Amino acid sequence: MVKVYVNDKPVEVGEGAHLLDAIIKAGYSVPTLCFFKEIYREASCRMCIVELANGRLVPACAYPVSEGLKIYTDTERVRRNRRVILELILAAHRMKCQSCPRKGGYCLLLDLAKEYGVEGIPVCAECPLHESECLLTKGIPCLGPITMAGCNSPCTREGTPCIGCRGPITRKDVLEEAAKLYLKYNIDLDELYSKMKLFWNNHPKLDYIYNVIKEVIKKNTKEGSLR
Amino acid sequence: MSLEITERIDKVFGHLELKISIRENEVDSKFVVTQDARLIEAVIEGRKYDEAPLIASRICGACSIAHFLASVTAVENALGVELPEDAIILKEVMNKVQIAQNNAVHLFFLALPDYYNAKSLGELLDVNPDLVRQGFQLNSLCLKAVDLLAGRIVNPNTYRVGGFTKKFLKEKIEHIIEVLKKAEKLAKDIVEQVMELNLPELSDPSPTYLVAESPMGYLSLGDHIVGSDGVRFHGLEYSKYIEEKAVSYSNSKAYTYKGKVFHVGSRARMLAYGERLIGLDEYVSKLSRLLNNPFNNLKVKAIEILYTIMDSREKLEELKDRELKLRAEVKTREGEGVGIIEAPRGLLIHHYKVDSSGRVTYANVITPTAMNALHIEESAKVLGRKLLEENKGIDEVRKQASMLIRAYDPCLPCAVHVIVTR
Repeated sequence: MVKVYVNDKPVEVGEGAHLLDAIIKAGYSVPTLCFFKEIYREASCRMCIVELANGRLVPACAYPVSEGLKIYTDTERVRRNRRVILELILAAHRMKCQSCPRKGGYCLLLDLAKEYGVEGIPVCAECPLHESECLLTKGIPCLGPITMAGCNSPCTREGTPCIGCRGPITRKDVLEEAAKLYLKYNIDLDELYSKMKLFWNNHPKLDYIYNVIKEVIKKNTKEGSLR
Repeated sequence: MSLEITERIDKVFGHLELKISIRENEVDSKFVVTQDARLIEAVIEGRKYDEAPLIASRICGACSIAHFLASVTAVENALGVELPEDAIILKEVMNKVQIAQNNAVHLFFLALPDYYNAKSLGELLDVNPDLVRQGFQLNSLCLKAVDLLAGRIVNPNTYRVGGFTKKFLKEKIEHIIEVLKKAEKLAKDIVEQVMELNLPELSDPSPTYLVAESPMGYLSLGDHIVGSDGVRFHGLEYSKYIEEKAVSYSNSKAYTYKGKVFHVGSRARMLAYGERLIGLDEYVSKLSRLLNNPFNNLKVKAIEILYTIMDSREKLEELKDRELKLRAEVKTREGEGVGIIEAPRGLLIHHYKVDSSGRVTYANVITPTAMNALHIEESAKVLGRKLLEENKGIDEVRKQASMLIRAYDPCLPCAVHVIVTR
């Protein structure tokens, strides 16, 4: 048996165990995305990083335990680094929330983004309406694709369009995906802009958001004209 | 004897001062709203018609649903939408349940502590813990019903211009009925207690009142306004009968009906349609002698809680087993419309003009507290004169004046308006 200290709490685990086992045994938890017990232990998402007593940051799922090791799971430094990691993951994440089977409150990535205050996933990720029931398909202008998630989508849940009260997403890739959606379902850009101005009138990036969407629509419309 | 009293009123929604000046047996009073202007009408102008209700519901957190319903009705009238009957009934139920909830908040959290010699709800807890417990329970049950009907407790999202967005499932309606049944039991107890209260005596300075017409029963939706003199006029003609003017000392406007000071609210509703409260004849007959006393607004509010809960439950039980039609088609067109509704504090008017592209070009909101402002001033004068005759001390004047204002239940965030100078 090996004795390790998780947040100064002593706990004994077997030889060859990993930090994650010790943390769980001690009653703490760390967020994991890629880890899958007995199947995947490559530490590729890095969300489970913890801090050692000597200041090193190591992934808890793949780092072996050793006698007298002291680890800290929730320091300020750890949280800051996890936030950066989340942003990196989101930057490469394909924003196809509209058709993701995990939508409607089952998205772990979204929960983590909410917990760590990382902007990036739209309300569509939480919206339980499926692709065929989406309000955009009915021609109703909904700000879901470009509004920050975290409200648990009470409006779209009841069939009323999102009005963007939680503020906009300013990441370009998200905005471009959203613009394609708006183009596909013939949503009027001026009407959308009027809706955006309801809550985001003083947002410094309002014009940027509008221009990104306008560019994509222009590029993808043959005549080059806006509807 | 001459003295000036400026009383900052606590336990009301918003910031309010009452000034009473007594000089040589002359009593004058001023209802000074110190709340800042909200500019809501200016925000609505220039926007698409379906955004108007969203903004209007944010005028006030307490009666957000009343503003939403009035706004939606005004837009629907402007666009000529003909709602199915079921949708109208559900809209009425939504309004009634929120009136019950608002009245409960007003009674327990703002007004009742005065009558048990407590300064606040916290002190009332020492004096009469059972009453406070009942108040909290009733409020949370009503909030639950509002939540189920409107989707949220503020800023409803189950309704868009043209009707309800989703079908109301049988299970959901049954759930609401169950909640209302529990609330009804509590409300009965509470009404008994409130009816036994001893309220100060005061005669009504101006018995004129206005009330939204209720075509059937009590508190149903219509588009006419009825006055105490029997005059009945369409909502769009309100500017012919109701004159508005700005007053220099207050941020709220002042209104008169045919040149007379008038009041709106629970007492006005009871005066106009009291005999239609089926099943509550006992209380109504007890109250009918007392209705010319503005303080009795409180007792009417308690009865209204019981009635609205009972009536909503009955209406929902009728709807339960039916296939509901809740949505009508909406077409953009040019028009003008008025939404007349009885909000918890009285008659509420939303008036919009929509152009052919669906933009709102004109918006006007007239709220109950603004209409009551002059009537409150007059009542305070009568109260001041009465207390002067009885040689009561200054503390008594202060206390009774704030109790009087709380009896009217003013909501100042609703009352403040911007005056557009062109």
